[in-house]
Amino acid sequence: MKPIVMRLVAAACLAGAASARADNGELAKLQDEFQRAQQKFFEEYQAGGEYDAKKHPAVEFMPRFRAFAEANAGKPEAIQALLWIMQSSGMTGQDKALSMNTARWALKQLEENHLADAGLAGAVPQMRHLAWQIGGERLAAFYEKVIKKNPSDEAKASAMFNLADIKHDADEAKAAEKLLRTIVSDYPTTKAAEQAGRFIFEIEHLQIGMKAPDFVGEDVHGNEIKLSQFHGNVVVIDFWGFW
Amino acid sequence: MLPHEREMVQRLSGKPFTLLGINSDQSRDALKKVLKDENITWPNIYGGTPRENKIARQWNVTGWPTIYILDHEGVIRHKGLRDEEMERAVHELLEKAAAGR
Repeated sequence: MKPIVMRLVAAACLAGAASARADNGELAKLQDEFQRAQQKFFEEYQAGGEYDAKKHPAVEFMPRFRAFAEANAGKPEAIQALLWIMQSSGMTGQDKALSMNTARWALKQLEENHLADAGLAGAVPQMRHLAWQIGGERLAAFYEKVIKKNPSDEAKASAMFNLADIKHDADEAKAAEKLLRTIVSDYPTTKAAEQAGRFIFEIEHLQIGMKAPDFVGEDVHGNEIKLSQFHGNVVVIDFWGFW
Repeated sequence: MLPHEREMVQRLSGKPFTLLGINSDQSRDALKKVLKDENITWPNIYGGTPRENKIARQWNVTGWPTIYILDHEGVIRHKGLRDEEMERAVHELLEKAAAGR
């Protein structure tokens, strides 16, 4: 099991950094440079090296991304740098309070300078896993403002989706469900609406005590397999893979 | 997971029980190889990678493995149990099914 978990962690870290890539220019160069350093760091780790958080390239790159964000304060290109800072502040091996301060500084910049920038539509979906780093309540306040002030439907719907996620984690299931339903009804063409629709399906059809919806697929030989063909049996459905 | 599942399927052979895999490996051939190498005898649907896997998407699967346990009437009874806990739950549901017949 361990190698798979490690591979997934490494892949998730690499994917996270790659997804926020700028189109061109100085920031793209900085991101490429970081990407290479990070890949080297993980390769050394996977080859059997000790995991030393203080040697993670995020330590060296943090001041550089911050300098870029400060030099370009208020410009659209600062958004990707601020996003990188929020995503990477937890990897710098600093204590929790310091790295949270760094991430919150970046969030404040976004809030003060970019709340009405349609470019947030690309950034908000990538902020989904930041609650542990920034704090759910602080992020929720940010998303509320995006929903009120941003002109982009994608940005608003994504902010609602992330807000629903935070509400769900705070055991406010009803509030989360209401947000998901609003996304689907008011912003039906957005990417967030497709995701919200899946969560609503889970709420409506996949809870304990509900009759499982039937599905059909094929085995590796192309033979049809239907869930309902096993009716009468106790069935364990195992979604799995080693990809 | 796999070693336990293999033993569990053996232990429960002859009982009204099915382990049904919904696999998200890279390709049908990749799964074929895993089935053979790991001696997986229970039914498996090849659904495609997480992005393509229609059943996993419909069931809103966001982490792997994700496990649902259904009783003999197809009602969802447990989510997220693994290994020994999963087997214990299956045994209880088998007993309930037998008592109800």
